[in-house]
Amino acid sequence: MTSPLLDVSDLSVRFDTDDGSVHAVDRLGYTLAAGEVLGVVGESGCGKSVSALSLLGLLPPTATVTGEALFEGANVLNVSPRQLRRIRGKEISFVFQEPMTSLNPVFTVGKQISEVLRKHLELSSKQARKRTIELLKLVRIPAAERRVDEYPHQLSGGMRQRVMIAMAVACDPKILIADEPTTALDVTIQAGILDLMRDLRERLGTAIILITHNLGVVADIADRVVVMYAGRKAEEAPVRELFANPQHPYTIGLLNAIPRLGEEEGNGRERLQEIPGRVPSLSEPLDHCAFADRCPRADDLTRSSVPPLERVGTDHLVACFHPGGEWSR
Amino acid sequence: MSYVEIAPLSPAARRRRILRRRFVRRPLAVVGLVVAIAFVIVAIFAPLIAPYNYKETDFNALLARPSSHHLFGTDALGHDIFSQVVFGARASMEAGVLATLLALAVAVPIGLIAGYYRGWVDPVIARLTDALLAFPFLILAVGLAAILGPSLKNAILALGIGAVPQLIRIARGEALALREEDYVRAAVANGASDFTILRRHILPNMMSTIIVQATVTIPILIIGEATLSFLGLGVQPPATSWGVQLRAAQDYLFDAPRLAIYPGVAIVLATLSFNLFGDGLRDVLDPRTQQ
Repeated sequence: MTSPLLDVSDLSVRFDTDDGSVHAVDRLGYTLAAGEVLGVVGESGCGKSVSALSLLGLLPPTATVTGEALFEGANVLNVSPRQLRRIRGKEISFVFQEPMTSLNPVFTVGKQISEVLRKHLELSSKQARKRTIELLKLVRIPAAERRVDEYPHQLSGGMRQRVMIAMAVACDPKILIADEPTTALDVTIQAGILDLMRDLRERLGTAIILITHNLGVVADIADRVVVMYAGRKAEEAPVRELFANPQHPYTIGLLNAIPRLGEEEGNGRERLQEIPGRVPSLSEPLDHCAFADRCPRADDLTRSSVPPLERVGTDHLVACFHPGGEWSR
Repeated sequence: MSYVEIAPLSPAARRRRILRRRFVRRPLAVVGLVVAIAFVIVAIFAPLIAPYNYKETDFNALLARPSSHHLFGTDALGHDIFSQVVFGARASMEAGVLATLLALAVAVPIGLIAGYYRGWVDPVIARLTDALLAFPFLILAVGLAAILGPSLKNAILALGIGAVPQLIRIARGEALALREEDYVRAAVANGASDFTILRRHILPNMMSTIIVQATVTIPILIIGEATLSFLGLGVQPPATSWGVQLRAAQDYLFDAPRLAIYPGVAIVLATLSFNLFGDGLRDVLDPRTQQ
């Protein structure tokens, strides 16, 4: 196996607040190969966004980040602000959840994309404009020549997210981190955006880290999936393996919580299953399995020690004392 | 009403057109703008508009009533009051506009730095502004003018400095709010430097607030200039300003109240017009007040 494009190990993030510290991410590790799509899944507050933001130093100053994230041989958690600015948007770029507010309202979308191009690639304004129109076409914005001169408020949410994606891929980054890119959009628009991201991966060879709480989205596009729970990795597997043979009860819970249409069993109106309880507060590092309070398989062992990550198959890791696949479907 | 097919406008032009239409629907704001512009024109073209030089004395008509010779009458020294009021607009407009620009030039960068960088800079700047704000604006300006010595230039300096704390507070508040915007975070994620973010993202987005604040600061400083001149800390006779005229009128309040009324009305009209214009501008530019 060639060395991965991004190798994250032992990544921990702690927030120090007046009410004590919160351990948002705890010794997380994963790798990303060139051109690969990695899905990072979990409920709100499980540390998936925080871990991604920490890679580019985008967390507020109250955050303490430790660990290592090797990108092209350098630890991006430990580079100078200057180098970091050169990596941001050029080597690793970000697409955020909120397309409605992620564009500056006082400049045209074309200007905003050009700005990134001119900064990182030192293009002239004419070249940048030409490239901007190409990018808008690449993200399938109709009438790109006209749209380039429009202001954000003249575009719909889906269009704005396309603009954000255009901006993110403007400098041909090696990694695109998409943080819930479709969550704020209509379902029909979501499909279009996912389709676009798949297309970009194929055409540009960009590796993608896709952060989402929606396993359906992951099934659609990811090669490999990391399931996070309470700041830790609960399970990691190639996408087919995960759906066919989930091991962690949390993963199984998430899979059961996907709404499905036209189920044959019963009358097709089975109650959607939820995972009882909620993500624990992370004010101190847990000395037991974080999922214990919500887990049907919890016992004394689960409540007294932290389950280590263990290999249960080729490329399939799970952190659970009682793994197994009696998935209710 | 019929609509004519119009050539497609650029988005910027369309936005300007929408704003203009919204502004025009506010009659008071329009009146304010017209009167304010009129005062500025009078100030600039004072020598052409005034029938006499403000220094010229007519000893045949001391304390004369209004007549065709002297539209507003004359004062105790035979100065033509109309000409004096016209020339007085100069000092007022200069003080209002220049002192406001001076205050903005100082306050906006400081406020931006405090609000954007936070850290230890912010509390230091914030507490210093609070300390300055504890002095009533006029006391501060009077104190400064007294230290600097009486002249129009020093009055402008004093008024400008006096207006700085309030403007720092506004710029800082805006920067503090804008730095949390998603587009600022997106710009950071795209590798923008602090300077780029301040110049391209934060400053442009606070401009409408700053412009509105500037238009309401101008009338305050116009009154400030009149006050300083009235107290003898601003414009010095024989140069004139509305404040100087009011001071001279004091001795004749009962015999010739018009000496006080004309410059007084000029001050009221000038400040009212800028305030009405500023209020209208705020309504137009603030998206929360859009109907």
